[in-house]
Amino acid sequence: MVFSQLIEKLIQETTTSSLPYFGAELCLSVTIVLMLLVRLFNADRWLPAYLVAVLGAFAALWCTYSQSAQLNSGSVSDSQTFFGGMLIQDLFSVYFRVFLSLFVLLTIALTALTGIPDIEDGPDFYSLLLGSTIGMMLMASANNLLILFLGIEMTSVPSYAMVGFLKGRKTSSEAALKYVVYGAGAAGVMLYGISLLAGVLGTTDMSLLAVRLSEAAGGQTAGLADPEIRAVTLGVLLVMVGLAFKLSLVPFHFWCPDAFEGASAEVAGFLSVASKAGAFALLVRFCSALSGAAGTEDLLMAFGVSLGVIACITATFGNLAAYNQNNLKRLLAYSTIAHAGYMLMAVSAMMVMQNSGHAQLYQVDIQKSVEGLLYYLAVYLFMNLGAFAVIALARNYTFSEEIDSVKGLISQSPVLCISMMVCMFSLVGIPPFGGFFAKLMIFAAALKAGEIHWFMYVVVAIGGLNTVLSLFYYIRVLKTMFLDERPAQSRAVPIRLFSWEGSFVAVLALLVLLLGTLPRLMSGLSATANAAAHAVVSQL
Amino acid sequence: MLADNNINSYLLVGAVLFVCGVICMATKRNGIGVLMGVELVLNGANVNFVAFSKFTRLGLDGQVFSLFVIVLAAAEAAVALAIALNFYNNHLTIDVDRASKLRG
Amino acid sequence: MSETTQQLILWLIPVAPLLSALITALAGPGALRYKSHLPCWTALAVSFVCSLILLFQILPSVSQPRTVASETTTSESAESVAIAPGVTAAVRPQVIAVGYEWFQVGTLNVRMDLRADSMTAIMLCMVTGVSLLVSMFGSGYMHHDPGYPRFFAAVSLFVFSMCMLVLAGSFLMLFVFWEAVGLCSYLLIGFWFQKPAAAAAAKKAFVVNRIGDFGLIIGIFLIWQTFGSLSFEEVFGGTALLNAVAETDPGRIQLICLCLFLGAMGKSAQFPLQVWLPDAMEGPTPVSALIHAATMVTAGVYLVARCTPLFVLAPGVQLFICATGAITAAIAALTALTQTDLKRVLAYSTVSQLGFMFMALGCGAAGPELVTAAVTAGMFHLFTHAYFKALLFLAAGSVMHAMGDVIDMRRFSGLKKALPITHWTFLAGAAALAGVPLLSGFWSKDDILAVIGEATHSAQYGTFFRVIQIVASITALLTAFYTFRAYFMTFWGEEKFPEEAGHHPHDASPVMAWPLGILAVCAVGIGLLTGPTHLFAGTLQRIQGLTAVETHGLHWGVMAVSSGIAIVGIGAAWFLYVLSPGIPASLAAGMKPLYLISNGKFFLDEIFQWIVVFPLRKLAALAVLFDRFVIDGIVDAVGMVPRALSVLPRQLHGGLVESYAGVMWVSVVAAVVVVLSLF
Repeated sequence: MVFSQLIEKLIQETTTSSLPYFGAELCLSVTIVLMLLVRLFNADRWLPAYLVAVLGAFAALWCTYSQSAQLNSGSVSDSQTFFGGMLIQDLFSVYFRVFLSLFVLLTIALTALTGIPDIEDGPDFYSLLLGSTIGMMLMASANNLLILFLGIEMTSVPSYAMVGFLKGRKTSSEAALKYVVYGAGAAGVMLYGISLLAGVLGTTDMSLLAVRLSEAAGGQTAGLADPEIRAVTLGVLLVMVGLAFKLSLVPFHFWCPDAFEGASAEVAGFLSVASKAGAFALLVRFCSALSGAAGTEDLLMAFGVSLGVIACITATFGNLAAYNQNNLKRLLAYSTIAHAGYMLMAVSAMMVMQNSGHAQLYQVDIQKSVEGLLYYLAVYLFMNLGAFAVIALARNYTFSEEIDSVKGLISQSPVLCISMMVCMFSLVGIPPFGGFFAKLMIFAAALKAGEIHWFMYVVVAIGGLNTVLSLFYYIRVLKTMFLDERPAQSRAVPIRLFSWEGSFVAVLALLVLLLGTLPRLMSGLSATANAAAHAVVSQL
Repeated sequence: MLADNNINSYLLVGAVLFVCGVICMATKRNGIGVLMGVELVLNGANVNFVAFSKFTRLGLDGQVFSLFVIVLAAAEAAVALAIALNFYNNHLTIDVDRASKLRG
Repeated sequence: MSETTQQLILWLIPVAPLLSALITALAGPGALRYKSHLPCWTALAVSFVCSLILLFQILPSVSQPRTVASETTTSESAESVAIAPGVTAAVRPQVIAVGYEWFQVGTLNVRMDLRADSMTAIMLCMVTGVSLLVSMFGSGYMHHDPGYPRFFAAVSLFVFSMCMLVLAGSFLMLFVFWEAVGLCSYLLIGFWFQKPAAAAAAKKAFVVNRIGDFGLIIGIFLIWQTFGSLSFEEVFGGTALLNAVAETDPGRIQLICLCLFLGAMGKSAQFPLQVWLPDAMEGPTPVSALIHAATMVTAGVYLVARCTPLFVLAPGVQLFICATGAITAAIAALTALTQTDLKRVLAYSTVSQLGFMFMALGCGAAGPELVTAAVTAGMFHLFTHAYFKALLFLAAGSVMHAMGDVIDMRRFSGLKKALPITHWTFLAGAAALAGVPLLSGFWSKDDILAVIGEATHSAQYGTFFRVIQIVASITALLTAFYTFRAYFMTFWGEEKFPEEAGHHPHDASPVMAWPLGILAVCAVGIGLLTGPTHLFAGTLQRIQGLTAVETHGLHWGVMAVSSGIAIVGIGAAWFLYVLSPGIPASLAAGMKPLYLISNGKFFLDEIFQWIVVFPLRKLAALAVLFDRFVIDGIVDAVGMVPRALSVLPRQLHGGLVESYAGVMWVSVVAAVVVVLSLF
C-alpha cells in the first residue's frame, strides 16, 4: 500500500513537473533514437542524419525557449528541483540549455557544411554530439553530486570518441588516447573527492552542502585542524581537479592542445565552447553551493583567491604558449586555455565576494560577476565557433590546418578572412566587438572584488596584461591571412559571401560585431544573463 | 561520525586503492595498464561510498552512487578500450610513450 | 489615414532607398550588373510618392500638434510639443514616427524616431524628386561604366542618409546622418578612384568637412550641456528655458550658434571652407548635380534654418552668417567669371548661391519680425536652386557626354545645333539662375533681395545691411553675366568639337532627355507656382520658430531692379562673347592682376597649402619619426618578451603522456601540501 502510493506519487511528480522541465534533453534523446532508426531502415540516403539532428536541436531550442519564456513571465516559481531533487530548474539552467541547444544547432550546421562525418557515419557522430550535449545540460542543472559526476562523464565519454573520430589518422587516434587517459584519470580523482565530500558531509544534495559544512565547522571559525574540515578540503580539492580538467586550467590543460590538434576543427570548436560552458555552469553551481557556510569563510575565501591565482597562471600560460604555434587548431587551443583563465576570474571574484562575510552587501556585484561570465560565454560561443569554422571551411579546400595554408587568403576568400578578423579581434577584446564588453564585465567584477582581497587587483592587472600579450599571436594569424602573398602552388579556396559556407561564418562574425555595437542586443543579453545569475546566486 | 573507529579501516582500503591507481596511471607505459589504474581509482572511491553509506548519515545515497559508478566505469572502459584499439591499429603498439607526435 | 499607415509611410521614405542600397550592393556585382538602376529607381519613386503624400495628405490632416505615436513612451514628448506660450497659436503640424531606443547613457536617451514637419516635407519632396530624376539621368550617363552597380548603391545610400538627416528628430541623429551624407559624398567624389585627381578631391572634401563637423559636434555637446536634451522638441520647444538661458548666459547661445554655423560652413562650402566644392566636380556629373548642387550642400542652410529658434537669440552670429554669405557669394561669383571648365563655373555658382541663402538667413539680425521672412527667403532659394542647378549640371553632363568627357569650354563651341535638347534645357536653367523675370530663380532671389532691403531699415545694423545689399546686387549681376558667359561660350559661336567627341556628337538619349525636360519645366515654372502664390511660404511657416506672416504682396520695386540686373548681366555677356568675342581677351590682358586673382580662385588653395597643409605635413613627418623609432621600438620590445618566454611552456609540452601525468600529479600533491601547511 505504502509502496504503491510512493510509486503513484513518483509517477505523478514525474509526469507533471519533471518531464516538462526535461523537455530539451528529451528532444535530444529522441533525436538520437530517431537517427539510429532512420539508418536501421536504410532511410539515411534520402534523410541525412544532419537533417534529423538539426530538427532535434531546433526542437530542443524551441523547448528551452518556451521554458525561459515561462520562467520570465513568472507563471512558475523561480527555482524548482525536480526528479526527486536531482536537478534544478531555474533561469540559470535554462540559460545554459538555450545556449547549448543554440550552439549544438550551429555546430551541426557547420558539420553539415563541411561534411566531416560522411553519410554512413553521420548517425554515430551526431549521437555522440547530442549525447554529449545532454551531459552538458545535466551539468548546468545539477543539484546533486551524483548528477555532477554523471554530467561530467556523459559529456566526456562521447567527447573521447569524437576526438578519435577521424579513424585512419595517427594524430587523431593519439589525441583520443591522450584525452581518454587523462580524462578517465581526472574523473576517477574527482570521484574520490566526491566520495570524501559526500561521506563527511553526509549528503549528496548540493543545496545542503553549505548547511552541512557549517555544521561540520561547529559554528565557529574552523581551520584545517578539524579533521572533518580537512577531509572536506581534500575532497573539494580533488573535485576541483576534475573540473579543472574539463576547464583545461593549468596544470590540467595538457590534453587540450593535443586533443584539439588531433581532432577535426569542428569537434575542437564544439569542445572548446560547449564543454567549457557546461563545466563553468557546474563550477558556479558547485562554488555557490559551498559558499556561505558559517565558520568556513576564511577557507572559502582562500579557495576563491586561489582560483584567482589559477586563473592568472592559466591565462598567462595559454597566451604565452600560443606564440609560435604553427597549427591553427593548436593555437586556438591555447587561446581557449587562456580564455578559460579569463572566465575563471569571474568565478574567483564571485567566490571572494560571496565569502567576504558581507555577501548581502555585495549581492549586486556577485550577480554582476556571474553575469559577466555568462555574457562572456555567449560572446565566446560566436567568436570561437566562428574562428574554428573558418579553419574547418578553409581546410576543406587546402587540406591543411597549418597557418601557412591560409597565407594571403584575402585574395581568394575575403569573407573568411574578414570573419576571422572580427572573431579574432573580439577574442583579443578590442572595443567595437562583443569580446571587449565581456572582458570588461569580468574585469569590473574582479576589480570590485579587489575591495575585499588585494589579490583581485593583481588578477585584474594580469588579465589586462594578458590581453596585450594575446594581441600578438592573433594578429600574426591575421597578418598571414591579409598581408602575405598567396603562394602560387597553394590550393584555391573559392568561398564567397553568397554561399552557405560564406554566409555561415559571416553571420557568426556579424553577431560578434552586433554584440559589441547594438546596445539593444547587448542590454538584452546582459539582462538575461543577469536574471540567470540572480537565479543561481540568490539560492544562498 | 568519524569517531566511529570501524569506518577508518574501510577508508584506508579505499585510500590504498586510490593511491595504487594513481601511481599505476602515472607510471604505466602500457595503455591498458593506465586504464587499469583508472579502474583502481574508481573502485577506491566506490569502497569509500559504500563505507560512508554504512557508517554515516549518507545512507543509501552512497550505495546508489557506487552502483552508478560501476555502470559508468563499464561504459568508460568500453570507449577507452575502443580508442586504445584504434590507437593500436594506427601505431601497432599501445605504448603511450609512442603517442608523442602531438607536442609543443 | 490611420496612424499606423502614416508611420509606415514616414518610415518608407528613408527605408526604401536603404533597401535599394543593400540590394544593389549585395546583388549588384553579380545578378544585377547593368540593371542596377532598377532598385534605385523603384525605391526613389516610392520615396518620392511617400514624400508627396506626407506633404499634401498627412501634414494637412494633422490639425493639431500631436504625435501619431502609439507607444506610451512618446506621450510625454507629445505634451512638450504643445505650443509654447507666447507664440501665436498657429497650427504646427508634425508627425513623429516611433523608431526604437538607440541607446541610453545616464539621462541621455537617444531614440531613433522620425520627425516630420512642413520644412522636412518640403526638403524630402525636393530631395527625393531631384534624386529620382538624377538617377534616371545617371543610368544613361553612367552607361557601361564598370562601377555601374556601385554608383547606384552609393546614390541610394546617399538618398537614405539625406532623408534621415532631414527627418532627424534630434541633434545627435542629425549629426550621424550629417556624417553619413559626407561619407556618401566622399565615396561618390572618389567614384573614379583610379584618377589621382578624383581621389585627392575626395580626400580634400572629407578633410575640409571635418573642420566644420568639429564645430558641429562641439555645438551639439554645448546644447546637451545647456539644455540637457538633444531632441529638437525639447530644445526649441522649451521657450522658457531658451529665453532664460539667453538672458543669463547670452555668450553661450552665441557660442552654440557659432559652432553650429561652423558645421554648416563646412557642409555648405562657405568661405573659407568652400575650397572643397569646386574640386568635388571630379565625381561623375550626376553626382555633382545631386549632391554637390541640389541636396547635400544645402544641409548647412537647412541646419541653420532648422535652428532658427536658437539663432534668433544670437543676432551677432546672424550678422556673421550674413557677412560670411556675402563674402562667399562675391568671391565665388568673381572666380566664376574667368573659369573655363564648365562644371567649375557651375560649382562656383553653387557656392555663390549658397552664400545668397546664408545672406538671407542672416537678415534675421535686423529684428525678430524679419526672421520668418529671412528663413522663408533662404529656404525658398534653396528649393528653387535645387531644380535649376541640378538641371544645369545635368545639361553640362550631357554636354560632357557628347563631347567625349571634355568639359573645357575653350575646346568646344556652337553646340546649339548639335545638341538641341541640351541647349534648350541649359538655357532654361541658366535663365532661371540669372534671374530672368518670372522664372524660378527670379522669385527666390527677389525674395532674398527684398529681405535684405527690409533689413537696411534696421536702426542698429542699417549700414551693415546696406553694404550687404550692394554686394548682393553686384553678385546678382555677376551671376547673370557668368552664367550666360558659359552659355554663350558653349552653345553659340562657330561649331567646334574636340577630337574626343568624334564627328557627330549625339544629343541626350531619351533616358537623359526626360529628366532634363522635367527639370527644365520645374526650373521655369516652380517659382511662379509657389512663390507669388504664397504656397511655399505658407507651408513652410508652419514650423517651430517661425510665425506665419501676412502675405506681403509683391515687391515691385525690387523686382524691377533685379530684372534690370539680370538683363544687364545677360546683355553684357551677349555683348562680350557673341558680338565682339575679342574683348574678353584684351580685357584680361588689360587687367592682368585682377584676371589672375579671379582665374587663380583668389589663390585660396595656395594660401591653405601654406598656412595649414604645409605645417601639418611637417608635424606629421615628425610624428612618423617618433612613431617609427620610439613607439614601434616599445611595441617590438613588448612583443619580444613574451615570444622569448613562450619557449618555457612549449618545453613543458613535450607530448609524452608520462611527463604530462607527472606534472599533473606533482601539482595535485603540491596543492594538497600547500593547503595543509597554510592552515
